[in-house]
Parts: sequence; structure tokens; C-alpha cells
Amino acid sequence: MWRRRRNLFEWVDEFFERLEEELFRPSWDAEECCLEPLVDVEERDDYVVVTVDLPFVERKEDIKLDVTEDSVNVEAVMSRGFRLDRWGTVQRGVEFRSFKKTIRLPAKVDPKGARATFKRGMLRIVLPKKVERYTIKVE
Amino acid sequence: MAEEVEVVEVARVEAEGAKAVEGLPDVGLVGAIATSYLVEQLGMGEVAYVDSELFPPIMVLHRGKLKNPVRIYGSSDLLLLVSEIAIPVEALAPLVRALTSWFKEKRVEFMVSLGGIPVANRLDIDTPSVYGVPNGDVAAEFLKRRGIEVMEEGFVAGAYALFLKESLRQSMPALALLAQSYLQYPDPGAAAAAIEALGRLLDRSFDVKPLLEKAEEIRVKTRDLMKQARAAIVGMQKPRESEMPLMYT
Repeated sequence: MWRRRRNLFEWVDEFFERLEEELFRPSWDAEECCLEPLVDVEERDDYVVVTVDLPFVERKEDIKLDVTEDSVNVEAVMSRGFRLDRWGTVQRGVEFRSFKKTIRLPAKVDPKGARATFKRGMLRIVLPKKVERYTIKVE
Repeated sequence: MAEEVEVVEVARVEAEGAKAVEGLPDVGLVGAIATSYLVEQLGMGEVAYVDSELFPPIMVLHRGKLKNPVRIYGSSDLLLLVSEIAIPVEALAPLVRALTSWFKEKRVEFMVSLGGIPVANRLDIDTPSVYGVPNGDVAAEFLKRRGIEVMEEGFVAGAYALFLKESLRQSMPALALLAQSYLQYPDPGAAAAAIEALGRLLDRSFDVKPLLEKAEEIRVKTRDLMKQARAAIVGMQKPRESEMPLMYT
């Protein structure tokens, strides 16, 4: 029981750590001229679905995806630069040209089975979970 | 006890018979995008701001001028509530109470909430449908007269649910116009659909073409507000909107 409780607390801590990280990390990198896209990760029984919002990205050829067992790295080049002429201090006047983000996955996946589609600026990646399954004989 | 939320007027507000429209950051930022677009499109001026110690300690600069992030813009027949921050869940109820009372004091004819209703297949929808949620017979009649489909059953959660509840308590007609949208991504297309439905309701036409042309730019600019709204959406029990209610009458 104690073990289960400790795991639950760890899970809650990790959830809030991730939320805090997402909320307070800058969504732009003025040095590399890239933006962090909005991402959603949904865990289902057999697979994980990652969606990424990529405005100003027009062609699937401009998206580079690297998948490992527990992460997805997305890099995408915009069809035209995006500049904030008045907003902020650090990012003002910088022309952002790409999106970049590494996404931690909630479960181990099989990278070879991953499939991705791109429609209306929305990237969708379906990653099958890595499952070790044993059939047990009922005695 | 001092009021937790205060509406501070910065200009004379003559709003008898006007319609009040709110679009607090929520699902797909539909209402937030729609109201800020309308303010710009109609060239409206700020008439009041909303202040509260329950809000995060944030001010915003526009063209070098310091502004409160929650503001009310007005003309003789329309009041628009715009928020550049996601409202913390604990501030929602007092904010809605204060605003509804203020609209009532200003003799507003009725209130409209603009928002989104999340749909899983949004990517496959070209023109989002818009559903109306009235708070009573008078508002239902407005919707019926303008041919806006009424949501018959289901849960509504978040700011507009509170506006509907509070306006009912204060006997003011109110309704929500909810466009099919993404849950977690800014959705200018859904905002355009909500604006067009508002136009039908008010019997006036709003040009949404510039909004649709700027859709990608809006999606980039509103990423941070969407991230804040996501955290608030969890606290508002938004996922309940896709659940089945117990009672069917």
C-alpha cells in the first residue's frame, strides 16, 4: 500500500512539475530565432497521440521528426518569417523562422511503428506503445 | 467587506438597451479572439476596466500605455469584455457577479457569452457550427428568431456557465454562442463562426475576412494565453461538457 501511495505522490509531483515547466518556460528563443509550438499528448490504451500546432508551416517536407522510445523531437520551418515589431524587449524585432520542441512521452513507444500526418497546419503523430505481453494459462 | 472584484469606469458609460458581449479565455480562445477582433474592427474605446486582488499581478503595455488586462470597451449599443489573461478559477464567480451587476446597473438589454465547444474532429470541419444556450424563455426567443440552433441537452462549464447562472439569478436575459472548436489550440476559424452568429443575433453584419486572413498570425501570438487558459480549463471541469447528464426530461 505504502509503495502505491508513494507512486501516486510521485505522479502528482511530476504532473505539476510538467505543468509549471510548460506554463513558465518562454515560448520563444530569440537566439535561435525559433518558437515553441503548442503541443497536446494523449495516452490511450495501446498508443500515444501527439498533436502539434504549426501555423505558417505549409509543407510536410519542412517538418523534421525524430522519435525515440520516450520522446519526440519536432523541428519545422515556417513558409515565411514572423516578426514582433513592438512586443516585449528580448523578442522585439527578431524574425522567428521555425518551431522546435522536444516532447516527453508518458509511456515507452515503438518508434518504428510511429505514423505522422499533417493537415491545415496541424501535425498528428500516432505512436504505438511498446508492450511486452504474456498470455497466462488459467489453472 | 470590500468587493472582491471591482468595475472601474474610465469614461462615461451610456448603455441603456445595449448588448454586452463577453469572451473570457477558454476553449480554443474562441471568445477571447472574437471580442478582441471586434474591438479592433469596430474601433471601440475603453470605457472601464475590471480589477481584483484575485487576479494575477499583471499589467499590460499597449503603445507605451499601461493597461489593466481585463477591460470593457463600449459604443452606444454594444459593450465588449476583453481579457488578456486567463482568469484564475477562484476569481471567476466574483468576477461574473460583479460584471452582471454592473451590466444590470447600466440597463443592458441582454448579455452574450462567446465561446467554444470542443469537438474531436475539428480538423475535418470547414465551417464550425454554432449552438446557442439561453438562460430562459426571452433569450431562447432571440435565438429562435435568428435561426440559431439551441443546445438541447448537456453540461456547460466555465465562465459562460457562470454568466448564464448569475444572469438568471439577477433576472437578466443572457445566452451563450458556442462554436465547434479545438479544445487546446487557438481557433480563429471558430472565433469567426461565433462572430457571424453574433451578427445574426444582433441583426448586423461583421466582416470576418480579415480575421481569417490573420488566422496563422493569431495562432502564433496567442500561444502563451492558450497555455494559461489550458491550466484554467482543467480547474473549470471542462471535460464534463462531453459527459452525459443524469436526467432527461
